[in-house]
Amino acid sequence: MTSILPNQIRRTVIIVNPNGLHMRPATTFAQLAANVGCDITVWHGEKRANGKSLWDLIGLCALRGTELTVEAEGPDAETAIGQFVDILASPGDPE
Amino acid sequence: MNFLIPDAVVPASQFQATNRDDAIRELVASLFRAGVLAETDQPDIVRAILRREQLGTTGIGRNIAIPHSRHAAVSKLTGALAVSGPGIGFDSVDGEPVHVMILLISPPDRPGEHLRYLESVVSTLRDEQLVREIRAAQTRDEILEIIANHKPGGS
Repeated sequence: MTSILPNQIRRTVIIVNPNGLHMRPATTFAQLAANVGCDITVWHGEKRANGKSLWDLIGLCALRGTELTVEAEGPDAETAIGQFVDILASPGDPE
Repeated sequence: MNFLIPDAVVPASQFQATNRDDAIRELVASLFRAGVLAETDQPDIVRAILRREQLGTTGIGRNIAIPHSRHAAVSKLTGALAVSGPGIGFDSVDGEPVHVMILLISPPDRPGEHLRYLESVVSTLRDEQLVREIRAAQTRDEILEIIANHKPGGS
């Protein structure tokens, strides 16, 4: 866990879900991001997604094996970021 | 969006469904009529897509829905598009009715391809002007031409 600015936390996570960051986890992510007090940003290299935007998150096209950086900034960033990392790190439903 | 089957593109004037389940049935039927699905595969594909909707809406907001499923009936990603004039209740993430539906069926073994195509749909339909034109189009050919002329990043 690295701190860039006061109240800003960054963590990296590797997508292990065989389907990548597909619509379902992206929807869960965006809905949660809309309900926390801090701003959530996800980076795939130079590509940036507003965590509240399902369209942005799908636009990252994060396939299995992709490394993403999650950035939380603002109130409760430190406590909130874990939930977002957990969504991205989830292997998905067994099929 | 080269996965769209041209004969499975349905303008608002020809789209009958008024609810989500019927809309999905009509989209799948359009792929059958286009000759890319066997009639006997239709019910199972519809069931698979409806099951997916039960896990969470594919109404991604901005009046767009992307109902989808994997299914062994296709050997490559196959898509249909339909426009609803009055709009369809899809329980969308933004609560708005859906006017443009893109239905995707992917082969079971190519998840990466599915995500790349999903990204291409989202990137194309971010262009609000393009979506307005698709909604207003009177014919299938008009919709196909609007999409073919779209320049990436032109939103």
